[in-house]
Order: sequence, then C-alpha cells, then structure tokens
Amino acid sequence: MDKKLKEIKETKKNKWYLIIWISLFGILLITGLLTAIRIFTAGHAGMFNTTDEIPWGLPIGTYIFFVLTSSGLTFISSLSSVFRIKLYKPIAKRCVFMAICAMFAGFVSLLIELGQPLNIIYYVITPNFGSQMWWMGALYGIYLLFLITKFWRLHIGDHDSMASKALGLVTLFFAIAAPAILGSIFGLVVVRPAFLSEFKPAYFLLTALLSGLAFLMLIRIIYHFFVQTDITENRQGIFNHIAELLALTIGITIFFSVWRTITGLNDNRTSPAFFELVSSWPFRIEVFLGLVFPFFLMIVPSIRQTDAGKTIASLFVLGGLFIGRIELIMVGQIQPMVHGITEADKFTHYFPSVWEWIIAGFSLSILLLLYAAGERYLNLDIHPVESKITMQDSGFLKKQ
Amino acid sequence: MEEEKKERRRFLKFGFLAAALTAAGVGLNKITSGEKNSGENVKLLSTGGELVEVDKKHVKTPHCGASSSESRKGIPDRKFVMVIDLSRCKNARKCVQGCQKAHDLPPEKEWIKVHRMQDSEETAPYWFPKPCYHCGKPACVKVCPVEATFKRSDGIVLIDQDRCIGCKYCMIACPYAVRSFNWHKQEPDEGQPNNSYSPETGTPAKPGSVGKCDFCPDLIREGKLPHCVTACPMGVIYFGDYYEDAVTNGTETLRFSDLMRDRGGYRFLEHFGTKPSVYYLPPVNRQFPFKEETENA
Repeated sequence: MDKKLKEIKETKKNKWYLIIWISLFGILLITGLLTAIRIFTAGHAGMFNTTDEIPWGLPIGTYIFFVLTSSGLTFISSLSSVFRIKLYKPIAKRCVFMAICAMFAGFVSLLIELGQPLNIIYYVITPNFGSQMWWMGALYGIYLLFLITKFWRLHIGDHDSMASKALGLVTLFFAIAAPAILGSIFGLVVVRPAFLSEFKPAYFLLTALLSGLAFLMLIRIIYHFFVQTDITENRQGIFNHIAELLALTIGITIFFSVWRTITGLNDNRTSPAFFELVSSWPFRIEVFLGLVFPFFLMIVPSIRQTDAGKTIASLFVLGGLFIGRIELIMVGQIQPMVHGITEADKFTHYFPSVWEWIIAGFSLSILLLLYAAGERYLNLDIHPVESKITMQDSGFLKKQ
Repeated sequence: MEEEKKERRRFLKFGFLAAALTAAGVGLNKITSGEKNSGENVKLLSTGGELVEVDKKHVKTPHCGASSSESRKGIPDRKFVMVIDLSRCKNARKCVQGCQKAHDLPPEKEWIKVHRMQDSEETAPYWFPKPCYHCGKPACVKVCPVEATFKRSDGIVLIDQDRCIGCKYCMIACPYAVRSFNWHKQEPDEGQPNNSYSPETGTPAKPGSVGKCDFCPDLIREGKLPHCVTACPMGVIYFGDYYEDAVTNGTETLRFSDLMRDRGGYRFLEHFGTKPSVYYLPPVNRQFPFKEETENA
C-alpha cells in the first residue's frame, strides 16, 4: 500500500528533482573524495591555507558545525523519546537518522584534517584520560553507536518499550556530554584568552540546539519541496512549533553572543582579537544576517507560519552558525601568543583554500546523500499512530 | 683430562658448525634477496688510511636513536636545563642553521627561532633565541589524546611521531608557539641515510605529525652538547644538569645557581605556570650594540 502511494506521489517532475539532487551532491562527493585522496598521498601542504600560526581552519569548523548539529537533532528527537512530548513523535526517527548522517559528515571532515588519521588506533591502545580531546573522541564515538542502535529500535517500530526509552535517555546523555567536552577543548586553553571561557560548553550546547532546529526545518522543507510533496497539515503544525522554538533559541543565542563580544572587548588580553573580529565582515554577517534577521522573521507569526519564512530563516541561521564556528576558532588563533616579539606582533589572517571549501562541500554531500537514501529506503516518515496525534494531544502547545 | 679434551673438541665442532651455518645462511640470503649494486660509488677512508670506493648500497649508517620505548624513559638521575644569555646574542643564526642541518629540516622550518624582541617602546630591542622550553608542567603533554607527546624523567619533552595523529591540539595549547607541523609529504632524500625513526632524533620526520626542538637527546646520551649550543659562535647557549648545578656552553662551565642569582635569570612567560627548563639571562651589559640585520659572525 505504502509502495503504491509512493509511486503515485513520485511524479515525473519529482523524479527529475531527485536526479538533480543526487547529481549535484554526487559531483561534490566525488570531487571531495578525489581531494581527500590527494591530501592523503601528497600531504596538506599547498592544499590547506592553515599554517603553524593558525593550525586549525575550515575543516575543524566544518567538523564542529556538523557534530553540534547532530547533537541538536538528538535533543529534538529526545523531546518525544525522553520527555514524552507526543507532538514530536512523528519526527523522532527522522531526527535520529539526520543526527547519524551529520555525525558521519563531521567525522569525515575531521579525518581529512588529521595529519595521520590511521594512528587513530592509538586512541584505544594508549589513551590519555587527562586530555579533553581524548574524551571528545570517545564520547562522540559512543554517541554514534547509541544513535545507530536507537535508530534501529525506531526502525523496527519499537518506540515505547523500556529498552527504547532507556536508549533514548543514554543517547541524550552522550548528546549533551560530547558537545560540552568539545566546548571545553577551546574553553580550557588557558594560554589563549580569547578561547578561555567557562561558558563555552554551555554556548556549544545552546548553538547545537539552534543548529539542529534550523537544519531539521531547512532540509525537511527543501527536500520535500523538490523531491516529495507530502508535508501534511499535521506536520505543518509541528514545524510551526519548531519555528517558535527556533525564535526562542535565536534570542538566547543573541544574548550569549552579545555578552561574549562585550566581555572579549573589555578584557585587555583579548580586546585586540575581538576588535579585529567585530570589525570584520563575517562577524557582521553572522550577527545581523545569521541571528538578528532570522529572529525577526521568526517572531512575526504571519512569516513564521509560511514555508518561505521558515526556509529563509533556517538558511540564514545555518549560514551564520557556520561562519560563527570558523570565527570561534579564528579569534583564539589570529592574535599573536607571545608579546614583545616585534615581527610577530601583527595579526595573522586566514581565508580557506578552494580545497578546504571542497572538503566542507564533501561533508555536506555525505549528509545530504545519506539523508536522501534514508528518505527513500528507510521510511523515515512512517509512524503507526501519527494520524491520531493532534496538536491538542501534545499538551505542550495549547493555543493552536 | 681426557674428558676435558673431549669437551673442548665438542665445543670446537659445535662452534665451526654454527659459523658454517651462519655463513651459508648469510650467503643464501644475499643470493635469494637478489640485491643489486646501486651503480653509484662513494669514497671512504679505510682503516689503513687508503681512500677506497665502494657501492653506496654497502654503506650502512649506524642507527643512532633509541627505540620508542627507550626514548620514553629518559637518562636516569638527570634533569636538563638550558640557559640563554641574551646579552651575547647578535642573531648570527648559527644555532638555527646547526639545528636545521642536524635534524634535516627544510629552510622554512626552525626548531629554534631567533626573534627581535622589544619589551616596550622605550626599551632597546634585543635578539631572543626561542627553543622548546621543555616545561616542567607541559600543556602539550596534557592535551595530547594519545600520549604521543610525553615528558621523560630527565625533563625532556619529546614527540613520538609514529604515534602522533596530527590533531595539532598541542600546537594550540603550547603558550610559546614552538611547535611546527610537518605539512609536506617528503620523499626520502636518496643522498641521506635511511635511518629508522626514533623520537630521540626526530628524523626522518613523519609527514602529518608535529615536530619541535628536542634538546638533542641522542647527543646527550653520548655525553655531547646539543647542536645549537656547539654551533653558536658567541657562546650564548649554556646546557647542563640541574642536579649537578652546572651548565656549559662548550668553552666555559658555570654554576647554574650562581648564574641565576648573580645575573638575574628568569623564565619566559612564567605566569602560565608551565615551569620551563629554559632560563634567560637578561640583555644587560651587552657586549655589542644591537643591529637590525642578521650578523654573520
């Protein structure tokens, strides 16, 4: 029955869109793969614009962007699987699947960035338990395993068993712990005051949620606009609710970002770097186009409830967050570490190379192609009781 | 007596048999391995004082670095320190060149750097050699996820590039920016001996790993001074043992504690709490005026 329904829905036009989707991201995938092979055989020199002064660049930013998006998607899926908010039940499986795809996308970027990725075996053989980096790798590894297991339970229709609930809880734990540790990788670097912050883990968790909300909304709407046109009225209700959550999360993020910048500008140690940051165009784009503009879009009900409003807002949020991840890495690296060394008292500047952009595109293509495959073959939409859930049932949103 | 003779005969028989088998084995190995001469001869001085030409293939360079596990132990009952006399440095850059040559580093990579330092606008500039500080509480060791960077009992901080994953977190965490990444995938130079890698020599550098000044522990094991110390024509760099309270620049040997007390020794960026093993003597009573350009002494 489902198959037949799918066949009817897939008009010729939609098939063409699917082919365009796969071709576009397939080209990105192949280009990225060839670039990765070149990096593994010839080294990073000449390929990346990172230097000894700025060792972390766009690939690390891409990694952070995707793994935090993954955590955010898990937070959203947990609304139903852990906090029992029925409204979100229909999208729980999709969120978990997207979270898995985002993890793969992030890991690919990280592996290409590593100098000797095969030595990752030493994570197991000679672990340094005192290193945040070790804990980040371990927690994200375990998190991915739990995510896959959780998805398998949802795929076989087990939404409400004790095992499934426990799995949801454990997955949520790792979805919180891993980005918090990732935040501490920057937040605990004492020697780089622009990184140093006890709020970094909290900021990472907050922006993870923001990233997850925006990503879910954007991919869902874009994919279904082009490929499948089956966003039901009930789904529209869920996405309206997600748009409200998005507005709230953007608001809190603006608050955090403003105070992070004010603190940075006031601290004598970090003010040169933050002044450089504030006067840069990427920062203005991040704040005004990535946060303020979508915030206004999402607080106006008439815009919030339209697909176009949601799409534009989530697109700008994601663009802003992506720029923000790179800026977050850069602000701690552009300022010279050792003062008094006259030739080093200048700011180092960095702009990603074409190859680094290709690696970012490679990661994105992995996510989007995996997602397309999941949509087509893994019944991400199917839920036995979906039709019975109404907005009033949720007990979370009364006004609609 | 008879029994002793028998025993000796048996020993000699066994000895000859073992030698014959070894010789046969070596010969067989040579034949089956199908090794051919490289076709390139090198000139060597024989023990008899004659100049002889042999095929390059037969020239073996002795392995000069300790194994990975030995490298981690350090030299017992030693704690190495370096003292840099800033009043003597005139940026001859011989330390940089000596280090680069010994560690087979490309020209753009410097494990010891000489910076133009100026503490404030009012004070005079001076030259400031900056090696790895081999900290007592090294931030790099703490952050390395796989213990590729380690601190030994003798105070030396080394990197096992065979284990390094190339995450560069140590470069982010180091307050002194003394680490560098091996960005290039270099083909082994045919002219260079193909030594196996040792963390004590740091050569041949592994592409995709991090490198830095290592205090030349392979030389220290042989009782020699690091390359930068011996290369410096001005005697700027002193090296020695903290426990023995003595440091030397190759020409003069001084008491470490006296130097620190009498010459106002200090450690760079000490407020980070990293407890560096490198000390500086301030650039006071300079032996020559500061000149901007490099001086080839």
